[in-house]
Amino acid sequence: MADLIDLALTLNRQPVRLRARSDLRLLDLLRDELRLTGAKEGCGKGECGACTVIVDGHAADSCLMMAFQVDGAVVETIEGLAGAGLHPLQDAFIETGGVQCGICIPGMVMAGKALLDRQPQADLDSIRAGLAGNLCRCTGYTKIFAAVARAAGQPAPHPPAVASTPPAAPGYYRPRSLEEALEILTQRGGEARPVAGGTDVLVKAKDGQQSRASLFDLTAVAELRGIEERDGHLWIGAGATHTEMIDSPLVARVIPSLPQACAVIGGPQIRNRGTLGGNLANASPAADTVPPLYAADAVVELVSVSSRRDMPVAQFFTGPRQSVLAPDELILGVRVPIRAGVRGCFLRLGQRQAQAISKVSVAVGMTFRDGRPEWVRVALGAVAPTVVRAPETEKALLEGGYEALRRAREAVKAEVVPIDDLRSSRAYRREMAAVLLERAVRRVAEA
Amino acid sequence: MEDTGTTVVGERVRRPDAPDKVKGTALYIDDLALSGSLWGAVLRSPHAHARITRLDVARARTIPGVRAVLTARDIPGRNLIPMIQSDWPVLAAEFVRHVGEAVALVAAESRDLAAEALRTIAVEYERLPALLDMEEALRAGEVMAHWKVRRGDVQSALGRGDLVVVEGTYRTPYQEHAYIEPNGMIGVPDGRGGVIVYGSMQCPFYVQKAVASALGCDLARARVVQTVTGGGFGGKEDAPSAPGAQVALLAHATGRPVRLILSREEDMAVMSKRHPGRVRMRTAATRDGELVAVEVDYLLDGGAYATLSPVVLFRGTVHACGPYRIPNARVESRVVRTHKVPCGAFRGFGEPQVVFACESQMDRLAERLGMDPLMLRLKNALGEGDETITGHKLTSSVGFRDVLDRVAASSDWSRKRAEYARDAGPVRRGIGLAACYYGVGLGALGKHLNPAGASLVVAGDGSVTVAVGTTEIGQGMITVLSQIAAEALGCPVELVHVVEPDTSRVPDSGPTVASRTTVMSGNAIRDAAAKIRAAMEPVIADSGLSWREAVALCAQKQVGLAAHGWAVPPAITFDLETGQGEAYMYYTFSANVVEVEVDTETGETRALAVHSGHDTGKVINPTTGEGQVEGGVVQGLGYALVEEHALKDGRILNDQFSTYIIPTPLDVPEIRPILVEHPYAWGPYGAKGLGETPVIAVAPAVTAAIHHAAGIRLDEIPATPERVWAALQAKNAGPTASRP
Repeated sequence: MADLIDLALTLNRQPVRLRARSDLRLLDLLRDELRLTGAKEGCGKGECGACTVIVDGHAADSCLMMAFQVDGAVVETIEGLAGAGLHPLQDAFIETGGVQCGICIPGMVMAGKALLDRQPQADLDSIRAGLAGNLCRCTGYTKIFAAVARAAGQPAPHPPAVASTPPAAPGYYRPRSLEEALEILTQRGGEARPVAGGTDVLVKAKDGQQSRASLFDLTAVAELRGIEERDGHLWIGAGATHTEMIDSPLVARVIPSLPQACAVIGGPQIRNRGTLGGNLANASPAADTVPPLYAADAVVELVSVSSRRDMPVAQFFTGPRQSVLAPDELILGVRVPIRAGVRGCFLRLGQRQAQAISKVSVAVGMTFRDGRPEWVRVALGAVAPTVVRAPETEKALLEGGYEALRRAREAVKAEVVPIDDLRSSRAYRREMAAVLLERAVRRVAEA
Repeated sequence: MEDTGTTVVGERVRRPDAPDKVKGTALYIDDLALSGSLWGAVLRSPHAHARITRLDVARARTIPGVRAVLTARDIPGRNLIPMIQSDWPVLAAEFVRHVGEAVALVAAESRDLAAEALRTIAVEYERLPALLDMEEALRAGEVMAHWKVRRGDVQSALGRGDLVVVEGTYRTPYQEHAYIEPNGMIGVPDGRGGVIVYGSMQCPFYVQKAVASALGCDLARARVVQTVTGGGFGGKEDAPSAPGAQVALLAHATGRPVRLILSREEDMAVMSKRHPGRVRMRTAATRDGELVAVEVDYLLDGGAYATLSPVVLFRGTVHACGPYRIPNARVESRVVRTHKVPCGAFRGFGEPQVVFACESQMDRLAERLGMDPLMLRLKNALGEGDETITGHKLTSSVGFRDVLDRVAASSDWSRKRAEYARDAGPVRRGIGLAACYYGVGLGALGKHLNPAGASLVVAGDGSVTVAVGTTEIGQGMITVLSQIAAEALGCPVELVHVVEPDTSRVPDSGPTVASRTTVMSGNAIRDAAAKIRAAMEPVIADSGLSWREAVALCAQKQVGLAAHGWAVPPAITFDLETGQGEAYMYYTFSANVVEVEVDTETGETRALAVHSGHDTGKVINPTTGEGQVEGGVVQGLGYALVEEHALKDGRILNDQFSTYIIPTPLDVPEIRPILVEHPYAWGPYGAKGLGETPVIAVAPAVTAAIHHAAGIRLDEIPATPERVWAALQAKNAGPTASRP
């Protein structure tokens, strides 16, 4: 049974304190407890964006957040947008005819606001990307783009809200230090499960594979946050979000393929919440952040109350959805050796341009000396039970030149073991591994 | 023809329903909070075909907080949903015939308790062989409906030696409506033996019949009110009758309000879809491109129950050969019963499947003749005075040639056709064309549902309440009908308030489908408005009073300003044996030019632009009109490129938005809506209707563009990268290898 917990947050510029069941999602808290029904549940899995709200300045799917994760946060919902008059975005949606059935509109407007708050002069490409986490089935999006474009550059009626409500600190559910988090895992070993971005865990919960009552939050654990240089390595905390990795010049310099991979994951809401640690723990062979890590000799740092161990990323995964992560362990972060002059590229094929799970993905990391390859890493996703390195392909590429590339294309086809599934076929995946490899290598060589 | 001196009709009036929607205050069914309401849930079959050998709900009934557990035996009325063939049970009695079929209902104090009650119901099945393939079902004789068209003499024409004949077999997939609001209903006991049902729906009068039938009560005791509805596209036409009847049974049994809101997964698994189709077609033309004969064999997979399949098939049958002059045509069409989810209405309604075949044939024929595909269409295009394949002589409002000219001009067709053909390298552009026509309204099979009503009440302050029996589902009905009411009454449009459809306010006005709403409800409103104007005129004479002043004067003179309106369309006649006659009252015409880019190494196709032209008669509101086109085109692009269901043992495997793929904001191209206005005399101000055509002729234009870009023919959609890549492999392997 779920506990009752105290929560405090700043909601639509007002302090809110309340007691609620611990197993509520943010969406349930808003809709059922606070009767703010503007956020809609279209899918409950972060796929449609109809429940989009803004949390601490970032668009988020409220169906993929636990209520206790907003303790102390600043939350904006569609209900708080209008002041004396409508917000310019709301006006623009009416004026351009961007509204049809309307069920997606609160989410669209909030995603649009999150975009314009960060990028007031967003152009059409940015608008499309900013709304890529929101589905609409009525409008064909055209007039929605026009609405956001019309609102771009118009002054917003409220200054950005500032956090003012101290957290109620619901203890167990939201540990503030690594020590506390590990204690929880140890004491309630097996029962308590950590959640950070929620982009996988809460999808499993919707499918009945995970009880929401047993979740506790990692996003307030300071030791898991950050992206920095440590002892000649790049260190990325397990709690780093995809958005943070995209925005980090350090990541771009040390693993150029990683921000490219992060940029194609989900939509903005997923990238704002999903974390590197979560992507690793989920252990999907199609995870987009993982091939770049393979192609950079990354090491995963694991920690429990009694031990710390480092695991080369290729040894971390043991099969589809399986890893060496023990029930009492957390992923602390990932360490990547810094290699001067490294270049990289990540390419993938999905079923569509956003919100897609990869059918096949390739990450390439290379250094060159005197125009010839000196160090080569090739890793592929969604073509084997885990992400895989392709050593024969790497060997072929070390030779340099067109002939080497042709041999590498053949080698990579022999090094992958794809399957037929809902997303694609074995034959196609095998062939595309070669196509993407060649394209990625050319991009790296021409960079 | 109507006088065109309108002041409100034709203007870009803002949507009256938009402010609440952008503020988040519009209340959809899941947003309604009713004190004391229970949670409803449905136990569903895990099998495609089975006999229920044991169904024991005794334990579930004893769980504290569980207020009702119902099976087929507990239905006070009839356990069949009234529909064309009325073969669809509210709850399975002895057999289940598709995965997800409803077996039992529960109502409980919480969602968790309702789920627990479902788990506690003991049910055992004896599995039976399941028919899962439409061709097998055809061989087994499981035909739900069979229609035909006989025109001229196809056999002799095809026997002539001097014609160019192309033929093909085409396959189209399931398509999911993917409205963002899942289905949901709330039933509230009315305290007098009846139930009021609120919900997300297109057709309150369908739900009303289902509720009254299941409860065994008068229609007047089964009141149905549509709540703000988050998308329909046909998916909320026939399908909501099931949850509507189910929630009414639970409310009736418990005496409490009950909410039944489907999850996305449940909605995708059990609600209706576009029928998968298979079409064989032979098309014959003279060497200079004059169509002589077309032969069509059209098959649809209806799923387990007939729902609307017979009329879906009918529409496809009579439109099977496209908007062309064809002296000899023979169409055989059948929809078969399988042990899968019942398919039903979906925007386009039986046309997209057969139009994919027909227009692919036209593109093939143009290639064989060495003719420009646009020229082939123009040469054969229906015009005024021509007959359709059902022998319907079109006497007015045939804007097809204009539509073709306009999309060609918009896309710079001839130049791009030549320019793109010169693309070399792995990524190549292509441009393709497809067309269709669409008989508006319910047609020869639905005449009994044709009329529509409206109720207009003018209040003392001049504001006007408009009630109609058709629904706003996002398409813009409220806006368009407000404009028609304002125009007809001569009042400011801001004073018109279209209220939520409620079966107690207006007579059965038929369904909100088939692009009929603007014309049918619009004419009913004009009828009522004319009565009100007739009451006003003697009072106000030529006084030059403003609307509000005129209304005040009428109040002073004790003249009541309220009226019911009723619209009955002109009669049509049709012979089902020969498939000859007026299949529909009148037609809209449409053509799309699609530009694509094909990556010949990966097989990926990206749509670059769609020029989408429609002769819809007078456009009441250009903004909502364009919105219909843009949305329909993107649904069509989804159908063409990515959307399909995978099934295993009759179970849908992709039941969520991460696996059932619809276009995102990053997947849509530039869309240019082109509205061509050939007025239709009986339509309000010359309007014809627009909802359906935008989706229909998109897929064949996409595959024609892919052919232009990459030289491959796809006879099956969606044109996934896998499919395009495989076709390119076959082509590159040379002509011998690609031959079957």
